[in-house]
Amino acid sequence: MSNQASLAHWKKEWQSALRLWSDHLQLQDPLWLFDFGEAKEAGLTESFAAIRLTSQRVLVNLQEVAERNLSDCSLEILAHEIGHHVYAPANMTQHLQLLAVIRQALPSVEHLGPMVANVYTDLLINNHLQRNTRCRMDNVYQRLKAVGESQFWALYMRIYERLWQLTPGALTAADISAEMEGDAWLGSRIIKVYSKDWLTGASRFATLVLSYLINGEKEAQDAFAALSDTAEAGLGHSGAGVIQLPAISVMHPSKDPNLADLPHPPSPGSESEDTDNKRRAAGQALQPQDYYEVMRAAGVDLSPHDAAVGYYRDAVRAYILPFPTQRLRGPSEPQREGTEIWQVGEDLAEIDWFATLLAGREPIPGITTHKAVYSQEEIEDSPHQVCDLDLYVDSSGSMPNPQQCISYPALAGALLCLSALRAGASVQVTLWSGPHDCLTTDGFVRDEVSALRVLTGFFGHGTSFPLKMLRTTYARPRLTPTQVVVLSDDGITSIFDNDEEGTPGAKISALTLSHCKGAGHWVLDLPYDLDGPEVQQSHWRKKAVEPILFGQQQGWHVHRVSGLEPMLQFARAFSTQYYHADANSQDGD
Amino acid sequence: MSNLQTGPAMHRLHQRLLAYPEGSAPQGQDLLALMHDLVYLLSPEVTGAELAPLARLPQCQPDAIPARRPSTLILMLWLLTDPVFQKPVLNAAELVGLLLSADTLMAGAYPDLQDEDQREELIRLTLNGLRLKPQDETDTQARDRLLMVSSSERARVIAASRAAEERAEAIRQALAEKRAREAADKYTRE
Repeated sequence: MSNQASLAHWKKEWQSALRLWSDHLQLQDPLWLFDFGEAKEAGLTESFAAIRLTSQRVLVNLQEVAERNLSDCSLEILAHEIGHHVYAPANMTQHLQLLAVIRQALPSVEHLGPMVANVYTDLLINNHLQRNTRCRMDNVYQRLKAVGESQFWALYMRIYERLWQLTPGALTAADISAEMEGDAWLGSRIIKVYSKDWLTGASRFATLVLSYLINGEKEAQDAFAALSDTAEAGLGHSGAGVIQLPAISVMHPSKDPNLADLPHPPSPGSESEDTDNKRRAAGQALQPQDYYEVMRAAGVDLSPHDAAVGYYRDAVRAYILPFPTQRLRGPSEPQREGTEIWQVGEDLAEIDWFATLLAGREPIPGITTHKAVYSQEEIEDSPHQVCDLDLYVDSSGSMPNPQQCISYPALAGALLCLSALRAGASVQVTLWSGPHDCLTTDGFVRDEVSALRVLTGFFGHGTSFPLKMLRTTYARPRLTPTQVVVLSDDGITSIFDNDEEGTPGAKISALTLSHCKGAGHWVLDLPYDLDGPEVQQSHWRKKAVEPILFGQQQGWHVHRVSGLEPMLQFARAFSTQYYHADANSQDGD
Repeated sequence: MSNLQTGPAMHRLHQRLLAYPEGSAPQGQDLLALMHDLVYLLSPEVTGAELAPLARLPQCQPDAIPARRPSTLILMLWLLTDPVFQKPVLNAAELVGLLLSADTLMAGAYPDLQDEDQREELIRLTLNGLRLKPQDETDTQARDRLLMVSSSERARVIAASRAAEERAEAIRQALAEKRAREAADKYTRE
């Protein structure tokens, strides 16, 4: 068949395949790839078909399909790929959730999560197509020969035999042990019982196949390479929120009462397992490191730092508050109120001749001459000037690495940055640690990504406040009022050291507060309150907080942040306090 | 050589089970009368002696406790009253034997009709007890598929699966502990 004839056939089948899912379904035409060169260029290297969730597109390598003797299975292939777009995983959010849920159930072989997700969603889609449409999915699998001897492949095929009640041996060549028979039965139950709640089913399925993966990772990868049509489904994804995991407890399907109706004897470790499950059942958000791993597993090409930027941006998006603004007195139009007598000696130009003549008398200077009286009307809606934000982020070894685990100071910083940028302000972000560790934005910028990139960086070295930045930024009074915010812990005290030129930090600090025209804030991750009993009872803690108290006396506002809620309280208080302030209370009182 | 009669189509029987009416199930003498009528309808040659054992079923006793959900026996009766069962010639003794053993055939005495596997098992057990096979299936296919949904077979393979999983879990835990010990030793040495 020529390329043109072949294409016409596939295009016709595409419409039929769409109608198998819904009469109203619309998807853009697949990307038809006629040879391996085109397929490679499109990123389709291992499989003969694939999907891209970001562009909602299907890719088909027609040459590979022909070589695998699947040309007459065009309807099945296309309907299957459409199934990934409309059923499982259907969209990027669910794809990421699926990968995260599966990774939790695959301890020690988490990197095989994408393959398991692919196999599991294939089972869901193929079962639907085989049982509810005219597609003969069993024909496809009878022609697909596994590479090597994979027990996982044998299990996969046996699950299909059970799902579709095929004669034993129709798809499996190997002898099936009683254990695998049980696993296949459980696998088929998962597909039937969890066909709607398929995220829970994914967790059960991953637990079911864990042993097969541990004992035959290489064989499984070889066997399933040709079917990996969702391996790079997330290519081009740019983030859509922190992945919230549904409440799913990890358990072997043989212990799931929805799947197996056999009683299960309590095991010695069941109590701790229950506790663990209760913890998981509450639902949770992924940590930045896991977020990065899941994104990578979805085929998203990004660095850990890029992932952290996306993570914090999405994490605070729901909490973005108005950024503090100061009310400035704006120019107002003079309002004419009436006239009064023009006195001799006043400016001649002020005489209102029209009003004087209108009075009907002969103009006598100082007696019958009138002048207009004007008043300045108060403008109720005077314009608000947005304060710029100058953010200093402590990245010393005592601070959490925001790229690995959730960092509340970084969350606070991200929230302030995004709020400021949304309100039209500029931000300068400086990441600091040791004397030579200082990373900053290119001055005050309006670029969200560059601000967050600095904010989510990490040095992990010593603690030495970048006094040079303060000194140069506030050498002169700022034209725009600026809120100076330092995110740190007790390492903030290094702000009072001398700078590299020998200038005392206290002097730079005072100058900063004077020249910023806004206010200075220290947001500190402290394990104790400054006036708490822990401080009063401990000599060394008392010594440690002395410089912080000195900073307070200088005019810095100290906020203690040690968790999500305190961080949000700080952010809310910060915005509310300054948002309602007028020009007379610009010092923040 | 085929020794199973061709019976109704599976999908018809699934539909029949899904259409089971809500309400209390018959019991006591009502249930006994129903069974007599059914056996007579499907196998008019039945004798009184062949029907007699049915009276000994616990559900047919005057003091039977009403069940909240229909039992396998009740569902089987509902299934067999479908007109499609009037076509094949059924043996009265086999029919009575099937009804007598109905509640012991499945793992649970009260099948969940929303569970496709349990419906499938109930239908196939009923057909098998009457030496019937579903429409469009060969004898071998019918037997294989019955085996696939059989509770007893399922219990055997799931027990094997569960045992294998417990062995694998024990090995994984032992390996994890060993790795943790080695890491701790290395840390101590360094």
